[in-house]
Order: sequence, then structure tokens, then C-alpha cells
Amino acid sequence: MSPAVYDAVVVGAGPAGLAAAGTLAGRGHSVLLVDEGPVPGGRLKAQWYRLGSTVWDGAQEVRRLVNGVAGGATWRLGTSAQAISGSAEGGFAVDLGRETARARTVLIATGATEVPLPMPGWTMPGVLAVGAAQTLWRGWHIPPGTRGVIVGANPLGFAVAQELADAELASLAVVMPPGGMATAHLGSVGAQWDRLLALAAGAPPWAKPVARLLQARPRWRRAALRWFPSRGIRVAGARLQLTRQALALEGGDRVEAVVLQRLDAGGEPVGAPWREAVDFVLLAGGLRPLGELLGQVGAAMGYYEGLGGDVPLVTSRLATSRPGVFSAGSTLGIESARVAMAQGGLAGLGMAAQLGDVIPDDAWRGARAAIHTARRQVPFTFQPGLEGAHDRHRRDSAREVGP
Amino acid sequence: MTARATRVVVVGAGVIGAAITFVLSRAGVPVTLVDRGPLGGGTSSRCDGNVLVIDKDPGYQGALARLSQDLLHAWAGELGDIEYRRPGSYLALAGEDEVEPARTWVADQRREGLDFSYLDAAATHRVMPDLAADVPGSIYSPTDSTLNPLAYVAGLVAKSRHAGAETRPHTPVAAVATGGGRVAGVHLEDGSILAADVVVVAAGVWTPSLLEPLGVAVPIRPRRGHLVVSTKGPRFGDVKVMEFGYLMAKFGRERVVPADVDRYGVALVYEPTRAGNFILGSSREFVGFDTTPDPDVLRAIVRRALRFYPAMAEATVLRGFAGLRPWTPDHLPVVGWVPSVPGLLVAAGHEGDGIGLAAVTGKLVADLVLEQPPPLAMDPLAVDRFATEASQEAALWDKTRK
Amino acid sequence: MGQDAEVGGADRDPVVCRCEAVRVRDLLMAQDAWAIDSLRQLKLLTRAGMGICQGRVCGSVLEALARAWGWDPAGALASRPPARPWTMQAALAAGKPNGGHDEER
Repeated sequence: MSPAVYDAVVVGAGPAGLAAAGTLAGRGHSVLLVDEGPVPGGRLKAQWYRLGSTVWDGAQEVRRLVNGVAGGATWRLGTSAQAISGSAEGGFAVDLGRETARARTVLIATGATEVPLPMPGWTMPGVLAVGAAQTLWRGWHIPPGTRGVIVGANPLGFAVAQELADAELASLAVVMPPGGMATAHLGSVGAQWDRLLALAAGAPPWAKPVARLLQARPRWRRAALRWFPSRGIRVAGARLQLTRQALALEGGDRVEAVVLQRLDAGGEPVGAPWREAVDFVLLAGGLRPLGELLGQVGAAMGYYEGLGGDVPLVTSRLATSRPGVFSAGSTLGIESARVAMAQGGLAGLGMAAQLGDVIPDDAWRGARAAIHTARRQVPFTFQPGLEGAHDRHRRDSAREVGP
Repeated sequence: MTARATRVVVVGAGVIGAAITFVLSRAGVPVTLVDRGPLGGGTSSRCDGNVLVIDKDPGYQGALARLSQDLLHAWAGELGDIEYRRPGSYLALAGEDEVEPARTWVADQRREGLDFSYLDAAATHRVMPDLAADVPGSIYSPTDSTLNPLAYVAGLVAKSRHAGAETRPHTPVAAVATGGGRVAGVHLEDGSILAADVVVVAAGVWTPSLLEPLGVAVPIRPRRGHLVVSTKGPRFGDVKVMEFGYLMAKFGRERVVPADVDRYGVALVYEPTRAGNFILGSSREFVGFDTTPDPDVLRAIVRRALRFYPAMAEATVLRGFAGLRPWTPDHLPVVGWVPSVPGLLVAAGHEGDGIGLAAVTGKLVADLVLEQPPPLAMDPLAVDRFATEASQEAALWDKTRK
Repeated sequence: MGQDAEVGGADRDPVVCRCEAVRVRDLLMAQDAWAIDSLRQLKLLTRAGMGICQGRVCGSVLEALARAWGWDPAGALASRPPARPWTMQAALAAGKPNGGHDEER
């Protein structure tokens, strides 16, 4: 039996939404969980990588989180939240297309979306966003091809490269994206190298060789890049070719070749471009927070490059500037699934408090500590400058939204 | 001082301010167009592109709209690609009870010299095969045209610049400056003064806030209107269609419509765009300055559209948006000198007709500045035409709708 | 293999907004043709970001270009309901379960 008014509508059944729903349901609140996907889990269910001797299996984590929610929530899968209106005092109306759900509180945990990498030929068949390739492989065991390149050197790309390598699927090279206005959002080649360097400082497994080469004073870095092997170095099961840049993708009915250009240590082209045959190309532009519904409800937002884009300003309970509307997970900044889960737990407590529950101090402390712990545990950070961005976001939030 | 040496500041770079700047600058008058935001960033980019005479009252309102159509038709070719086209427009009838009023409407308009015609059910469905089978007839006006509103603004501004006009977007005006008993220019929010001999306030729904400090009251109120945009896909004819029903009040009849259609003042507007989408309208509500789209209003607009186009049930809504129409009690704009402040002109209050009436408004304001005889009487548009009762009525209306 | 003989000589101006087939060149040409001073205007005049994905894909590109051109992109690509395309039939099926919300107006 679904109530006329839910205590909470949770939009997004990824790690953050599931954790929040588990917290709320565990405290006896009625929860409606909404997700566009046919199954819960969001991007988490496609994650799978080695961490030293252990394995991070996203699908297993999703099962654990879903069990945590158990029968405590009403589910609406394959359903889009179209619009949110109303207020904490009068109640929220969450438009689900075929029905309108009423709620006392709302969590917007809609996660992230991939940043595009527009380049000549990118609309051809055989060219995929790297996240889409991951979903195809993880979800449906459809391999992307046998010989390909990943354009763009970033964590999501490396994670997928590792998966494909582990499955002995394909021979892969990772190359830099083209310059120009269509990729201005990625920054210059130099800026992208800097970002890789900042990521390498977190020492994820794939980053160690990069770190050894690049983690040095600028002069050394220049030298390292000058002598960077043209064939690349082995990273995450792929050949990382930092001094190669993809200029264009070519083909007929589907992609057949990538046009490559050698770069010098300053990121400038040297020599003539050449073609290499490929049968697939993965574009790795990165991720950015997806908070469309937050814009709709008029929540105060801010742009933080280190968090991956526009995110809501939130209190220490993850409440947005719109009373009763909370946010957690990648919508608050691109971080790992562990961080998203911990944020979901805190948002769940925040919503419970909004609903009248008395939350003991140690529960708040525990929930906040869980986020810090999760941040320390992550195998790699997704964005350089994350810490600085967190500090600025916290300051702006305290000023605009309150403690 | 000769008229051509007059320095003019136009406040508000919506379609009205842009049209005024266009006509004045081409006449050699030095004009500065200022706006607190981007060019065309207000109502002029939150509206449809209709340039209509079909729904205007026979007489003055119709003549004003018709004049504007001809001016626009003459300008359109030089403004760049503003998606201008002249397909005519139709008012579809919802029931047999509307047939007689519709025939009367056509007769009245024809008496005023407008080329309206009445189409019976068979003729209506020949032109608009997607209309519901029970639509008993329609009215056709051949001169009605359509364009892309923001492109229109951009084209007017670009041509004004060629003619020497200065445009200053993102320049908020704090107040109209006066001195020696007349207008001296405008105070900008950065503390500087933009000197001028004539100031034209063309700030749409934001006009009263600039006039009130001068003791000038104009009863312009923001009336929110929603529009719905479809995805690209099947369309339901290439002609613009509205419903006759919302004119029924003029005949002392009540419309019989679903509750939400009535509550949000919804009337069908169907406008196919060149990009391949179609736009559905429209709603009318007094809710202050809030432009947040309300899904319930979007729903009411869809409900009304399906009454006339049942096959639209399979079409897809891409987005909804809302803009603020500058409403006046008598549904005519305010265009003219402010008697109490020499040098101050007002051109605002066009409600849902700003795009349509921009051309004639630009011409009328330019005639006033250049001291030329206007092409039609301007008394019905006068700033001080609102009697005390009318203002009070407007205030009361505002209050009850709030 | 490629469409042209010269290696890397392919059209270097990729489509940025796939839904509406808008290239960087179109964004630049629009600025030459019109008086444009904001991302919202650029969007409305070129249709970049106005297609079926509502700027979800190309948004980060458009916003970065806006910043490079000196415009604050905040709000220009803000989502408006419905968040996802909505068949008109489905739009009508939902309604307010009771009158409480309406009474707030």
C-alpha cells in the first residue's frame, strides 16, 4: 500500500539514493525510490576493478544496498522524474509522467553524465562514449571491438581500459584528444597532463608508472615527456601514449582509422600526422554532475571545476537552499561510489531530521566520518583540485545556505 | 534644437526597444539602447512568433496590428534570416455555439477592410486535416505572419548598429534622470549618467518600476504565459491555428472548458516552427514575476491541444517555458509622451502582441521624436488614458488574482 | 579508407550539438551575423542545446565556450520541465492526487 504522501521521494537509485533510502526505511519512513534505469544501481553496477589483492565489484555492492532498503521502499524503476514543484510546508509534487507522487522531502541523487568529446568523425558507428562501452560490456557482454583507441586520458577511461584488458578483449592505446574550440572544455594538452599528474599523486594502481615519469619538477616533467616512449607505457592494460594526439576519426559505414599526431614536450605538434587502423574508438571526456531537477526547484548552485561542474550548495546535512530538498552522490561532485554511499547515508539522516526524527550527535558524527573515510579509501580521485574545491564549496555553502 | 540632433536613450532591449532603435537610428537620430541583461533576454525570448490580426478587435486594434504587419513585411528582407514567413492563420471553432459569433466576427472585420473569411467544416478539414472531426468551422486571416522572435530582436539590433546606434546590454538603469523640469538622461547603476534629450522607457513588465519614482502610474502588470515545445517529429499541419473560443467573452458568452483549462486561462495556439518542432500555447495567469514553469499548466495546455488535435496524443513534449506578458486593462499598449515629464516617452504594455506590434510601435515612437504626423491616431494609446477608476480596477484585479 | 587523400585533412570542425547538428563554425557565424552577448541568445539563435537531449550532452562544451567568450553561462541551459521527453498522453495521465496542492495558489 503506498501512502498518499511519502515521507521521502528519492530520485536516483544509484549508490547515494540507495544508501539514503536504506537509512530512511530503516528509521520507519515511507520512501519512494525512482530511477530511469530498468534495474537499480546506476553506474555503480558497471564498476569492477582490482584493488591490490581484492576486487571492487559494483554489482555486489548494489545487491548489498538493495538488501538494505529491502521492502522498506516503494520502487518506480524505468521511470523519469519530470518535474518537482511545491514546498516543504505544503508538500512536494514529483511528476513521474504517469503519476504524481507527493512527498514531505525529496532527495535528488541523479548522479553524473559523461562529458562529450566532439572531434571530427565522432558521430560514426564504432565510436562510443567510454561509459557506454563499459555498460555494453558489463551489462550485456558486448565487446566494443578488437583494436581500438581511447581518446582522453582520465580515470573513467583507464578503469574501462583495465576491464577490457582483464577480459583480454582488445588491444588498446590511450591518446590525447584534439585541440580546438570543440574541446575547449577539456583544457589544453598541457592542462590535461597536469590533471593526470595531480591524479597520479593519489597513486591509483594504474597511475604509478605515470607518477614516476611525471611527478617531478616541471623541468623533469618536460624531460620525461621529451623522452616519453612513442609506443607509450603500459597502464591499466593499455598503452598510454601521452605524446600522441588524435586529430580525427575516419571511416565509411563505421570507424576504420584514427589520424594521429606526435606532440613535443610542450604539447605542440611535431612531424606529419599519420593514420592507424582501428575498429573502435572510445571517447573519454570525463564525467560531470547531473542536477537538472535542482535547477528546476531553484536550488542555489555553484560552478566548481574540481567537482566537475555545477553542483548545489548544501548544508552540513546535505540540505539544499530549498527547504526539504536534499542532494547526495555525484550530483554533489564527481567522486567515487563509496563517497556517494556515505553521502547518501548522511542525506538520509538529514531528511529524517527534517521529518522530525531526533538524531543523536554521534550519529551525525558517524555519518560525516564515513564520508571522510570513503574519501581516503578511494583508489583514485576523479578530479584534481578536489580538496580545494571542497573547501570553496563548503565556504560558499555556509555563506549562501547555512551551516 | 532640431529633431535629428536629439539624443535618445531607449531603456529596454526587448523587441519594442529594438524596433524603436531601428527606426530612429535609420532616420539619423543618435540612439543608445540599454538593457540590464542581454539583448532580448526578457519577454521577447519567452514567447511565440505570431504577428496576428486575426484575434484583434475590429477597428483601432485591428488597424494597428495590420499596419504593423505591413511594416514588418517591408523590413523582413533586410533583417537577415529571422525565419519570417506569411502563411496566414486560422481560428478553429470548438462547437456549434461558436458558429454565429464567428460569422459575426468575420463580417465585422470585413467591414473594417480586413480580408477575413469563414470556412465551413468541409473547407476547414481540407486545409487542416489533422483537426478533430467535430470542429464545425474556422476563420482565416491571410496576412498573419510568423518569425523567430529572438532573431527578430537580434536583426533589428544588428541593423541599428550599422546605422550608428550604440547598444549597451548588461547595463542596468537605476532611474530616469531629470533636470530643469525635463528629462536629462538615465542614471546607471554604476553611478554614471547617460545624458539624453529624450528617454524612451520600453521595459515591458518592468516599466512601472522606472516610472513610479517620477510619480507616473501606468497600470501594466506581469501576466505569465506558458508555452510548450514538441520534439521534432510528426507535425499537425503547416499553418498556425488558434481557437476562437477565447474571443467568446467578447460576445457575452461563457466558454465551457475543463477546470484547469479555465483556471490557467488556456487557449489553443498551434505554431509549427521552421526547425521542425511545433509550439503549443497558451496560458494567462497573474502570479507576479515568477517565470518558473508549472507542470500543471503545461498539462492544461496539452489537454487543450488534444481537444483540437486528437492525434497529438502520440506526440512528445520536449520542454515548457514561461514568460511575462505586460498586461494593460484595455489590452492596448501604452505609447506616447508622459505629459508631466517633458522628454519622457513610454512604449510598453503590449501583452502578448509585442512581437506583432513592435514594428508599428517603432514607427509611432520615431514619429513622435521626429515630430512627424503618425499614420494613425495615438489617443487610444496615451499614457494618461487610464482614468482613476481604471487604475483602481486594475489594482483590484491584480489583488484578487494574486 | 578516409574521405580524403591527405592524412588528417578531414573536416576539422566537428558537430558539437548532435541533436541539432550545430558546429563550432555555426556558433561563430551566428556571432558575426547577430548581436549576441549571452549563451542563452546563442542557444536560441543557433539551436545548439535545444534538441532532444536538451543540452545534456553538449552543455559542457557550450558552457566552456561561453566562458571563453566572456559570458557567464549560469542558467542559460537550465532544465525546464519535463526533464525527459514526455508523450502528451502520459502528460495527461498524471494529475494531482488531491486538491491540497492547488489550494496553495
